[in-house]
Amino acid sequence: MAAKTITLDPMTRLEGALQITVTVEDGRVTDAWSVAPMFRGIENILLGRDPRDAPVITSRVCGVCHTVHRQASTRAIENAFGLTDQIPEGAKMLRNLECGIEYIYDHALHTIALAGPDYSYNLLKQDGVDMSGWPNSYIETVKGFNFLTGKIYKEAVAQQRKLHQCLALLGGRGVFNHSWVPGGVPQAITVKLAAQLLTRVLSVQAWVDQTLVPAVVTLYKIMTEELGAHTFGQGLNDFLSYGFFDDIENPGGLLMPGGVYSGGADHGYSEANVGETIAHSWYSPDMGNQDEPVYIGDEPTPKPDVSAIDMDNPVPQDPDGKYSWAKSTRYKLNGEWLPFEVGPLARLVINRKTIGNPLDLRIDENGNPSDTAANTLNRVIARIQETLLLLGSPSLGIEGWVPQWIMELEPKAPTALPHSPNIMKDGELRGVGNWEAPRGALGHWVTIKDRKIALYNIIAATSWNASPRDHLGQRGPFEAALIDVPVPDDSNGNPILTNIGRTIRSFDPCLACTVHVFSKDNRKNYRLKVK
Amino acid sequence: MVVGRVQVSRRGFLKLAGFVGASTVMGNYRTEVVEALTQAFTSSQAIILDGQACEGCAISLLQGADPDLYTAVSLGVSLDFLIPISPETGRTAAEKIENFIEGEKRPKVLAVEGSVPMAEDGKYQTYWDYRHEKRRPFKDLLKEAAEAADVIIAIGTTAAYGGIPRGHAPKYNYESKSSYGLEENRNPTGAVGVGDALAMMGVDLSGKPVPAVVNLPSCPVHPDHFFLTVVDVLFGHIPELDSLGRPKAFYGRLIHDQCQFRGFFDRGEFLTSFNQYSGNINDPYPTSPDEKGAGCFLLLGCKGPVTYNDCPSRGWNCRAESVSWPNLSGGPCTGCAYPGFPDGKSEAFYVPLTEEITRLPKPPEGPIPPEIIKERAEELTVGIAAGTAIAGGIYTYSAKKENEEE
Repeated sequence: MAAKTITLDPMTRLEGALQITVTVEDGRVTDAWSVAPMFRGIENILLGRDPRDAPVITSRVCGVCHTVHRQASTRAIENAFGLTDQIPEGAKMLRNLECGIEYIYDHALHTIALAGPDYSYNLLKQDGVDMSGWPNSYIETVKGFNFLTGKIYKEAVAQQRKLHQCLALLGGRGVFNHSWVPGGVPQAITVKLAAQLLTRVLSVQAWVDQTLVPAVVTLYKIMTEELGAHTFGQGLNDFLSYGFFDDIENPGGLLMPGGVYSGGADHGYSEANVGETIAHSWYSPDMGNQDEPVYIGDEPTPKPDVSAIDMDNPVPQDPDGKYSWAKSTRYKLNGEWLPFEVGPLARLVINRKTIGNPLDLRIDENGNPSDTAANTLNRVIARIQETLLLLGSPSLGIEGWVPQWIMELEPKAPTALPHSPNIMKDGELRGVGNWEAPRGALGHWVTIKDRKIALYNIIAATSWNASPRDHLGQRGPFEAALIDVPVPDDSNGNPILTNIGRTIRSFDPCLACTVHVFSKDNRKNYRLKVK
Repeated sequence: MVVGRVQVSRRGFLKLAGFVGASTVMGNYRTEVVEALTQAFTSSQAIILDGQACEGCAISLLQGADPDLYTAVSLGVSLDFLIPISPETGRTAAEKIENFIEGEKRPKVLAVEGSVPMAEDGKYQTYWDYRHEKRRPFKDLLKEAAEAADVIIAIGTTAAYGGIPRGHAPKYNYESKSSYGLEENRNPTGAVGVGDALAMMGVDLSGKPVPAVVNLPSCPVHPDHFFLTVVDVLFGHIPELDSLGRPKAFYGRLIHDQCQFRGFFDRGEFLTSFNQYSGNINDPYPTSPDEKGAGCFLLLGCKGPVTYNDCPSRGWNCRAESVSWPNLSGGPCTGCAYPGFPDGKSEAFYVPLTEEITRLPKPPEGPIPPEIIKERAEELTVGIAAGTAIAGGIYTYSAKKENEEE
């Protein structure tokens, strides 16, 4: 059977614009390209500005995971001004709490409303899946995932609203809230605030416990028994995490530390080994990062090159051709630049020895329990495991970090430095803010010169996952995970593309974050704006 | 349809909102708003397109109390290009926008989230076009959709005026209400708002039922603003817009003039550290920098005095459940609905608006002499405010005086 090239654009039910192109042969994907077709240039917009503005502007990198961008940016700025150790405990607790709430909303909304319709009754029926022998519980669950009309779908939308209200209580409004300021958090801790947060969080906890967990357990059975989702989407099976959540009792430490898992072995993580190359990205090579990736903290924002865009083909015919605004993010391990998968699964694999494994449903391709295997099923399960870890589950005996954090809030504790927002210092300063977005490792790197931003670099989670091929031709995580995904034909001989959507969505992609760099000539700006 | 004693189908929800207050309309007339959507969508089409968007507006639309985005979708708003929630993927999703452009049902409402990159022939945002078997710039798709549409709504500051992707552009030109020379600005992708983009592409809106792009700025959009506007235009009402294309019902007043902390401003009680706010607006102004209390955020960078929006009176995230707006959480307004955001007067979010401070009457130093209070009280035009002002020993100035200075 001849190979067929199929393009999916727009890939929907994710954040931002993504095009996926695959070649299919004998009912399997044989090659794949991940294309990020939209471009804004947030870093360039930051150049020459007051550094304290960066968290406000970078939170607009992504309207879905805005709090984590604000957190990573604030960390970078506070790091540059040498304030990391001075930030009051109260501020760290509120920031932890707010990020925790965002992960819960994001994970639940993604699993049900974004990925959910891929497992819905309507879609399975459309794909010709024979459900006649299915038990009632299976049918009921997949009907619940129906777009807009499903019971659990509607409930998930209502539940996420309560969590956005929590964000509004902490920072004035749900999306782009105002609770990160230079030097702390402006919201005071009060008993009333804690009570308002706890009411909402516990009501979401009850829903997750009684509705979401049973639905996911049934979904697990359907995904393994009926759809074989554990047998495809393996991809790289190499993971990376920057780590997150400030350990209040152990200043400087993280509750889930970062790390690297490669070739079955654990390694430490250092931000000095993060780099990017533009070998297959729509930028011109005159900034010097065409081949070997460049360390992100030093990387000048490259010059975009629209002439490299092939307007006649979904992806270029030339194997060396450029095809995305996303750059190839790579990590240098033992002298080699390698691609890595990031996300909830990566975090749980890296922290498997300390965090434990609540609701352990992850299995390898042969169906054996595994706490390190990657596949389409395991990414979905890991997202729910992390939700339970954060939110808690009375029925499973998990206490949950977020409710605990709310109860540990100390009314009237200081939440910001007394001299905030006047935290600026002269000189050339560099700062790094590493954190985790719901969908994986997120880092901001800043250079400040004479109280203005001189260089800013962001690597978001989906920059890792959606990255195109690199200088060595190594595929990015999406592309690697799509290889061998089954694409059967329907009764009319048309390919059924559902497994491609399932695999891509198992990563919870966020393209708005991914393409973020632009400069007409960054060096010129550097000279012009900063003496 | 009759809402209370007001004939909504004749007056329009926005008129009503201007009349009784917008939050009252959403709070008291939800059923009617949903009913209006249901009726309207049996014979109309609506679609949301994503330009250079971050999806923050889409997520914000999910936070509306009732109706929310999902209600609207279930009633017939087609969101096939609203990437976060569209049920379809790839070619089948692309067909929906073709149906919008070619379909017969009217009115057609086009809503856009995100700015439009115009530099380099729009190649900073492209998509694969199945009809032409080619990659095309997003701006071409927008042009086709806008030509077919009867009403065009720009959702959020980015779609309205360019917002953050247009960052570091020269000052917004209020006279021409339009574009900034692409060569001279530092806006990397030539990002502009929808109105500017359509003007640059020569799309004529004069023959349309609503002959201008309806701008709903703020970053992100407020869900109430969007749904009330959609309902209104679907009923055939032409929203009353100001010179920047904003419905007057929502953007008619400065945030500063509605702010719950206004009393602190009038008394000259300004907070100077982010560690000072106690979280309770009823607390007194702190007597020392270490003490917590309430106060005005002007010196911490609040952009309320230059930003027109109704945040303080409407609130965010379901007002019915008494949730907040930025200043109530201690995080000062960043002026996100200001047309030049993140530049111009809204720039430098934690630096005070010095120009505005000097423009406003100076707060007195030390205790206010009784004769001044008496004098001020006589100047006041609003009786109730005067009573409150005198009771609190307040230094204030009249609303009339401020208007004269505008």
